[in-house]
Amino acid sequence: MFPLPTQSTQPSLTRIKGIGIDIAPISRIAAMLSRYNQETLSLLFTSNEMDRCQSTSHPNRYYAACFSTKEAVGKALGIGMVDINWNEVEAQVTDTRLTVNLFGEARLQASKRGIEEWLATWCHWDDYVLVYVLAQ
Amino acid sequence: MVIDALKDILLDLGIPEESITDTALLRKDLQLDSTETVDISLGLKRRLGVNVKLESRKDMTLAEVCDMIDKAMAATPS
Repeated sequence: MFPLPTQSTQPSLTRIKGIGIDIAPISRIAAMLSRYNQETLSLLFTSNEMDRCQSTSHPNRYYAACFSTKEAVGKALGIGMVDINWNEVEAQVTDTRLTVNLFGEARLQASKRGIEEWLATWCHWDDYVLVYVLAQ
Repeated sequence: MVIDALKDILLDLGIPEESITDTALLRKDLQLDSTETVDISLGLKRRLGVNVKLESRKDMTLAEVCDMIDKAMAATPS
């Protein structure tokens, strides 16, 4: 089931400044992870993301969620990942919650668009992870 | 050397050798998606030690990618 934002975080349509959705195949992210060491992967993931993903029982699934969050945030900003670095978008993923943190240019781009808050959720099925973000 | 490294990475991703030409466009001709594009950047970091960002508004040819890598290598302190 795809979790909906709770009542207290229900977005107001007039405040929404961007929407991003992304689906990632877990097996392809796993194949990529297997080819590179942590130092190389730091181009893509923050150290917090790597620590959290490694501590879960399904690291590949959580890495895929992090990857999809970055893509979804890029889409919500309307620029994709063109002007921002992958590791400037950080996903804090738990089974029931997804929080977005931005740094550097990603933070600046969000600020330029008047984005003050990110609402995000995720789910997984079979070999896929889906992430949905709202910028407001 | 740069083109050889790039070619190896593309072959690892399953791109047919005959498609890997100077004029091949990453998205239109090689049909690379974002996961594969970032995989190439990671491969270049591992093999050549350079940070090259391949996400761009304009589709790039492999010759243009090699040019970017050369510039990134020249700018990287040895």
